[in-house]
Amino acid sequence: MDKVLVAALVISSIYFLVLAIPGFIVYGQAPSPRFVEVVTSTALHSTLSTLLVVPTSLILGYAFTFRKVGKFFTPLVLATIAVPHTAIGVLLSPIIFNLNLTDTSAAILIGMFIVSCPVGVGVMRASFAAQGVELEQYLRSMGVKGFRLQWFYVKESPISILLAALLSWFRAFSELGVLLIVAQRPQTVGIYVFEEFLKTGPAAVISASLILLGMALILTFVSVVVEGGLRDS
Amino acid sequence: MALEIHDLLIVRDGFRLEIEYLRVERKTVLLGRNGAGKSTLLKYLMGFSKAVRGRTLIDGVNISNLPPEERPLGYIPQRLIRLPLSPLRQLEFFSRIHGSDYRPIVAKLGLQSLIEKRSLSIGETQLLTIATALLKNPRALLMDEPCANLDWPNKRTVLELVNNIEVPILYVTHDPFEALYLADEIALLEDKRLSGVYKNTAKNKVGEIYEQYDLYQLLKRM
Repeated sequence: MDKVLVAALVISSIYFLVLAIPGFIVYGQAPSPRFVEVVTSTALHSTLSTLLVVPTSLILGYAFTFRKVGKFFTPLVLATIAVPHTAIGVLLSPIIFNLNLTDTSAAILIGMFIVSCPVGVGVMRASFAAQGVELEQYLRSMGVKGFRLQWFYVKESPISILLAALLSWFRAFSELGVLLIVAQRPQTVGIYVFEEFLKTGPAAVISASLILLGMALILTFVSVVVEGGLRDS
Repeated sequence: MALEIHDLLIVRDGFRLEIEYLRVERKTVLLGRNGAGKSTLLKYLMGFSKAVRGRTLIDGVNISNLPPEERPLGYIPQRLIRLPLSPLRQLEFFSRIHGSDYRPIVAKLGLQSLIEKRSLSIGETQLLTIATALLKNPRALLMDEPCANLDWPNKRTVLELVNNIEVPILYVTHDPFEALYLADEIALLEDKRLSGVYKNTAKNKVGEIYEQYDLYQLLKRM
């Protein structure tokens, strides 16, 4: 595993212990029982979103790497990384309103999908590019066409697919901006922290935020291990 | 069987390559320095890139407008190709696509022991890639420095195998020794054009030297 990444994780953990815990001691209250419910709901929506993002990333990642049309559309998808997510929510809102999906699970899924898809596509694009165009050229010279071509690249990328799924899940789980505009209910964890903070200040949500930070550190550690596996493979 | 290139001009990013005429009937080695345009030519012949003008003919039939999948050519790229299949599964997979039988090809190339293995060395992988390309029953083989990543014993094995293939081969290399060992004709790529095609009169002589100077054997005798 990359020593620099391990060091970064250790520093994050020190931050967690030294800086955040005193805040909890000063302000903290135990998170409300509702917090567990919201985390579970957010995790469920993130998982469903990831199930949609992974196959989409395989198709778009491949197209963006090896197809001219795909390359043309690359900036459009990847630009969502740079646009404030409230702005994406605003741009999405006419469609969500017209479909009567405001404040529904479907709206949450659409929002999560749109923000986490570029993450998955980015990972798969890098993976396919690393495998190189020569493999595709060889397969085409051997008469392999269409999705069969892609199958060979996918079969070579299990760790990249796992990493794309993990990172997409993180991105979906942590989404706030789009959901503030199109789906504040059912409540997701970002909305919960934001609303509780507005209602009662940091005291009510600092422990919840601390738990979320701890969860993120554990998941980041998992993704670093996966990424290490990717480099070693 | 013959592969012909007519009146070819490739221009790309300031790079220019011109070939008036080249005919490949047996083993033609395209010899040129790094960046001379050897790989560019093979990619054009396979249909992976376009030319300003030019025609590719197989047995007199123009294949210039066919997609790569439909060109009756075998292609061995410069980079080593490892597919996520066991050797046997790989041969079976491409046999099914092309309606061919891998067994006679494997027997003819003496690769029986190779197909039973689970994983292959670099040299063995290259042999498998060549055997796989032959499943297509190609009218000509295009080989882009297939020995570039191989050590001397592996290089020997691959060169010997290539020497035994009866399909017309356009073999690209920057190594004059490989050229002299393999070629019936050597096409020299210089100054962004084909400067000449020369009959390899030294083939037998180089073959003898090659046999004599098995470098590993030579080292053991020192």
